[in-house]
Amino acid sequence: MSIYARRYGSYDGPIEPESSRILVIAETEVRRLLAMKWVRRLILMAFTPTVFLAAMLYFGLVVKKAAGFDPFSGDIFVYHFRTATWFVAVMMAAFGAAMIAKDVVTRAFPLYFTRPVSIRSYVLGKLAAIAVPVLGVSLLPGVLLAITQWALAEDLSLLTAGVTLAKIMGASVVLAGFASTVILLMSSLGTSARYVGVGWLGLFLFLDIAYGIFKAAMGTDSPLLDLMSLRQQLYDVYDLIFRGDSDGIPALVSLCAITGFCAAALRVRILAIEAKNR
Amino acid sequence: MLFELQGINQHYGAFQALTDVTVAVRPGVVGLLGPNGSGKSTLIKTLLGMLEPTSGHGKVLGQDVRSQSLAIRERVGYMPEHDAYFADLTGFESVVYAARLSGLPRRHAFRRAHEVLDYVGMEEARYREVQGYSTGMRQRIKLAQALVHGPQLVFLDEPTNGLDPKGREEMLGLIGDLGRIPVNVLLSSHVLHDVEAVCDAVLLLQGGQVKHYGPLRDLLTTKGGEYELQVRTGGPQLSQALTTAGFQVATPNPLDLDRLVVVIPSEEAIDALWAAVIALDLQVRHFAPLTVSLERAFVDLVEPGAHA
Repeated sequence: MSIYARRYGSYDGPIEPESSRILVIAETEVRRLLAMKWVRRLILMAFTPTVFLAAMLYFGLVVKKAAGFDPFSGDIFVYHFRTATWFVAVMMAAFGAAMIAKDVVTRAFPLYFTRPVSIRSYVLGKLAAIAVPVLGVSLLPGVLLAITQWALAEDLSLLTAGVTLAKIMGASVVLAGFASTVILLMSSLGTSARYVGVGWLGLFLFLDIAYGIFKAAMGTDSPLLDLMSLRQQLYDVYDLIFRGDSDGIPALVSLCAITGFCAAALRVRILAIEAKNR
Repeated sequence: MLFELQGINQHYGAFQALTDVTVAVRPGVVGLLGPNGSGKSTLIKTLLGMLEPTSGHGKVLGQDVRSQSLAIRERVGYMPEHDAYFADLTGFESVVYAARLSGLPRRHAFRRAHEVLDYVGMEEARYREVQGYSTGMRQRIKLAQALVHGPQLVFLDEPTNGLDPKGREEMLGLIGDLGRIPVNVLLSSHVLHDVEAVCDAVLLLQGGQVKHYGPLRDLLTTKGGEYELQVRTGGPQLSQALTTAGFQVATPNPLDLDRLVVVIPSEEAIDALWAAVIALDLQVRHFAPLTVSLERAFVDLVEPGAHA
């Protein structure tokens, strides 16, 4: 028996504004994801490199000059985001791919859009639901690393630490925005989450392998050639943010363009699915 | 008024789904009838604000269908015809999610979900995932999702689809009960028995146009002044006497000659009928306006002359 004994009747309580649906959708999806044991394990695994990098920071103080490694430069964060990129690629295939595809399969669209839920809220809610675990494996460990770096350094000012935190946030937003928008568009294009996930990983790896072959064949290290690979574009952006390497500018522009295009295409796609489900 | 439509036209490219729909529907449990392709689903989606009318004006619960669609959706519920559910959620979680999508704060959503699940008869099964539910349980969950936010008007699209006779009766009982809460209902169904069982008014569409709107009893009562007259004995003699008195009399069942159908053209003519009955000293067992089944009324409206 339920704990509530009241009989069904009319409702005259408060109603939250439409914009709150973004959080409702995101929260429900994140709860659904975290209810799965393997998702929790995957996120925990993503912290392993962080622990390793924190150890590098500590020991880097000892072997700093001998190894030519500066533990207080941005290199440590470049390494962190590079490993996080691979975890994010796997996470997108594992659960980002199902985010819209499952709603298409279970015909859930009328359940959303016959309620006071706008397409904007639906898309932003889903994006936020993917972005949360992505930020969990990029932003959160990055911040922990920054705190470790600040705690170990004797002469690192709060201003420098603040700038580092801002850079970490910037890199996390680029990674989360790009990955979640692309995977959400791909998810909206298919009905099988498995095929969408394999398609995403295939695209990610195929472009990277093709890039490697072209680079070896041409024997050049051009930033424009880097645009062939999604992975390399992200790496170039990390170099731009943490090392000030201006070769990353074309990659940043390219990633922003891809994200913007995918966001626009996603909106069109959701409108089409919603019209089909009427 | 529940909803008022004025000259609503709805086009899908070259196809015209609704043509000059003008109707003002009063509160209650209203049946939405019509042959396949008559525009029932299009009408519901227009009322929900999901489709903007090509032309015309409309208001649902006083809100404009063009400019206030989100406000309309806060106050109405919709139970889709097809199987539709949120993946990986239990029945209870699905109803809470539906409530929160309608704007209820978390605490209210939890309380309302339990209340509405009790109402639709979902007990412990509410804590199981919806994927594992039977058709009947899924229909109940869809009804609970449509009702959880306390809508003033609920659109039910074929709510008894796929239900066994017991489940169908229970679902009809719930729908009938909604009218007493009161929640207004627009029930779209191909099963005329369902409409006859729970509705107090009927909106009939054909070819995208309103063919009939009014109380169900008006539809079931013949318009030609036909009355059913049952006497204990002496039916043939009464039939002859009434015919002589100028009435049109028929015996619909040749095996029951004491049951007559008499056309009474005016109120005054009833006195002449009683005079004939008294003159023959007959015992009258039943006298009432002739009613027809909803099936026959439906066919008569959709295909005039089909029963001629």
